Amino acid sequence: MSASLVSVLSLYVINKSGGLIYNRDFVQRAAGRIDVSDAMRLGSIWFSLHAIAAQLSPTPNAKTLKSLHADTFHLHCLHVPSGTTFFIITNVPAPNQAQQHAQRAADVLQAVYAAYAKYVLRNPFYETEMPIRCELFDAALSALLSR
Amino acid sequence: MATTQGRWDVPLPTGKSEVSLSAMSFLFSELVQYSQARSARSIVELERRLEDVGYEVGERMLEVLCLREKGRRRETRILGILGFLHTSVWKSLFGKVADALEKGVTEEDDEYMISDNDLVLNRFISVPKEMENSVNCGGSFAAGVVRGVLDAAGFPARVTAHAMPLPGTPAAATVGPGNTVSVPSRVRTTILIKLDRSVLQREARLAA
Repeated sequence: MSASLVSVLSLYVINKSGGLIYNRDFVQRAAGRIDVSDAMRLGSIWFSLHAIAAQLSPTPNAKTLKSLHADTFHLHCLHVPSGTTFFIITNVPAPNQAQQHAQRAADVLQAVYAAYAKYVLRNPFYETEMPIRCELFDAALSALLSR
Repeated sequence: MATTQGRWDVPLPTGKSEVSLSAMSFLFSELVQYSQARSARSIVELERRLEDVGYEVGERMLEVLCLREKGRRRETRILGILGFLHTSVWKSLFGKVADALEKGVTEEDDEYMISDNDLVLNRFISVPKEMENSVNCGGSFAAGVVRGVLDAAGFPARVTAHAMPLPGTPAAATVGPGNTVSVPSRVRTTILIKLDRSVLQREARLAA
């Protein structure tokens, strides 16, 4: 349907305490692979930014840092009630499609969250807050995001 | 004399209600974790504990299902009890009948196999690579259920669970409406039943 509207380049999942528990690139990066320790650092920094944004907000209890727009990519973020954060790096949409792009990115994040609830949380071999190593979750994401 | 309704007047549940798949999978996941915590890192012990739980369930399932299905006669023949397992027990526990019931080829004619291509209990479980190919959580539980039913019905047997890759190329995960993803099962779980000699002797007597 709108497979070309949002092209997900990478996915990062951060646990409640700010540690990176999952990162995956769906498209080969021209800038090269990010080292695992660097990826963890980036995850924690984003987590801190998210916390700062919540504090800067004029209204209380805001957890609404939703996206970051840069020249070469967009970053969309979903923060769920349990404290886990999912964010995706996507392509830059055409100016007239910006709103649909944002909406579609939010849908994609919801789908990733659903896959997480389905294949990670129900896996008895997964310890919460630990790095995610679930084959079924990987397969689900491939179907969802590599198209 | 008291006119309040006594405990014995309340009817037994009919068994028509269904439990949500989420609830069942979370409960089973917790059961596996509970068993693993008590298993001292031994996979064999984990499977044995799951089987034991299944055994308790199986014994009770036999009574409950026989009670619910009016007009059911007690199964005394091997094919009868196997059919009961394949159809009634599977339908009641997992919402669908088992996929195959086969007879194994051994000289004593004592092996039978019940197979399920998509065991509900295993649907959301990804076994870590270290344990790959050696632990089958849903399978062990199902094997325990089968052993419980057979024992309670008077057909002692040795029951084990085996997992085999499904024939054909593995199907890719599908994305359904509302962006829900389903990863199809790649494993066929087979419950191997090796009946006791006493059962075969009795069967031979009954057949004559």
